[in-house]
Amino acid sequence: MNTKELAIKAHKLKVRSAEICVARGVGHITSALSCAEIMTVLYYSVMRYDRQNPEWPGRDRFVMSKNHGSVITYPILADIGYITEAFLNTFECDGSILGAHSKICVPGCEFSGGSLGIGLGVSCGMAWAAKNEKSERLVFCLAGDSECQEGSIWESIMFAGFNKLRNLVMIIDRNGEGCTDFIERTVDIEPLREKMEGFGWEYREVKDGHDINELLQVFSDLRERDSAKPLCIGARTIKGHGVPFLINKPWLHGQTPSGKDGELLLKLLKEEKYGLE
Amino acid sequence: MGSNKTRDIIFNPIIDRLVADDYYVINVDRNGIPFIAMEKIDPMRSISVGIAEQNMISVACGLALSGKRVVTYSSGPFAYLRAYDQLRNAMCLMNLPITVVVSSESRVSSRFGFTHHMTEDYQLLTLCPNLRFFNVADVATAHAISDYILSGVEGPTYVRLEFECDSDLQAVENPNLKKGFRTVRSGSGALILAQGCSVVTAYETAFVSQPAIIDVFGHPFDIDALYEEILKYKKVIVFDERQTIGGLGSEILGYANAHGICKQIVMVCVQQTQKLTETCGEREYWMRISGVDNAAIKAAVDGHSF
Repeated sequence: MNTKELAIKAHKLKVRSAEICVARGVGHITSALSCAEIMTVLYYSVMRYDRQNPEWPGRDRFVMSKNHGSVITYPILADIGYITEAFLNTFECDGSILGAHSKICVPGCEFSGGSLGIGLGVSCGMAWAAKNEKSERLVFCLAGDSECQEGSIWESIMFAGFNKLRNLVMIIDRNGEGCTDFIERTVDIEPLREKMEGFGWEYREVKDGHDINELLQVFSDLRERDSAKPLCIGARTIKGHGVPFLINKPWLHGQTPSGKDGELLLKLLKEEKYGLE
Repeated sequence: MGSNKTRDIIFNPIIDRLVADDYYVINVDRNGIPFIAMEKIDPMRSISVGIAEQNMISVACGLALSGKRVVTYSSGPFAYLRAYDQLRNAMCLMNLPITVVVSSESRVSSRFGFTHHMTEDYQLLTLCPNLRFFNVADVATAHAISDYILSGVEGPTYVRLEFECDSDLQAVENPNLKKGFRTVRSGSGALILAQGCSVVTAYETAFVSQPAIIDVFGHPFDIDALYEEILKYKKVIVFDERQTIGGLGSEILGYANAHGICKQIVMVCVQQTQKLTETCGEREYWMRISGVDNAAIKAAVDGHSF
């Protein structure tokens, strides 16, 4: 896919995620919107997988550590063909496996999440297994910046750096917001570059995590990277991106507007032209 | 007392089959002869995470999700206290075939105080979905657990070893993992249901009468079959180096309540007192102030009748 096609894809995924959230009046839509372009570039340009077989052993692994953002994953899995489009409409319905947090029983999901601070360690284990098998598969882990306040994340960062898990790529969705407040007002993770490099990682910064071109650039050399270090990509994003009335309101974490506000959310998202000019 | 016999029974066969059976062993810190031996065979299969229990379980999950056979080893309560989130919400939730081996070093922990006492692992872990729980009190049980691990565990498994009590009990019945309990000694009048070190303590206590002793070493266990045994005895005592609430006794009483059975169960379990949480001493001191020593079980068996 070229840049324009990826931007269109990201836009469609955002709208579809919002639709299934608004339909039920639940879901972490602001978290999903902050990582939509990252997920699009990963799934449609970077990661290797088999559309016919979600269990293909050679596939790259993706671990959604900030699992509350999973509602962006489901339309991707439907688009790939791992689940049906109609199945998306069961999101958060009684008895559905498509919940606000994804589980490995959903085809294409590699990890059951919902508790923060676990996914990176799990990714370390996956990377270790791949390294020892001399497999070329990569392991991608998407974490939140507020999630990085969890101590277990730093155990995993230290472990991966020390053990030179170069097949591990951690992407930090740096939307700057936690569950209730901005992280600079709780416990900031800065200086992130110095921290990651100090722990033996290569660090790359993405100034605009919604810019498809910048994302493509930062992911362009992953398989040929001339480094033994694991890679951390810090992507500056906006929580609630594309919907002005959701932005800079950390207290809206985990909430999806319904009724007229829900309709407005969908209208604004559908009208969004970002990246399409 | 105080050997690594049961640990070695569990890990030595894994050393032999480390590469052939695609095992990965994750160790907190880097202690113990078996793990050094594994490193020499293949350093990629003997992983130290440092003193980082949460990461130990998370890394284990990643390896298991990659199709590996994974066993972790750590001592003290931190694998289930600090990493309870990872155990419950990753390993057990995803039903991953990981064996978490924990060594209870109660002689050391009595010195280190309350933070190091393993008095609630049964309570916490038996709440986790899919988990099989084993408490090894002797070499026969260790061999049975070892065979189970080597045959390929089907889901999350927790194995508690007793550093102080890995004795050679001459039990009248061999451990049957499906049943989850076994008769250690036949008797009459009173029945002691015990776990872990308490099995050994009861076994070594000189009673006036001769109580039967059943080692409830597994969970889930065949509670119907256990109740058939319980109903044969006039006096039933749960003896456990764990706290009363939510433990084995609570589970048995819950079953009785659900089935309309009126049966008094005496609990000789750890009493959480200020003395227990604030003081330390030799293991014998800890057992005495906790109310789980020889004198306590002897009083319960030979004391008042009801």
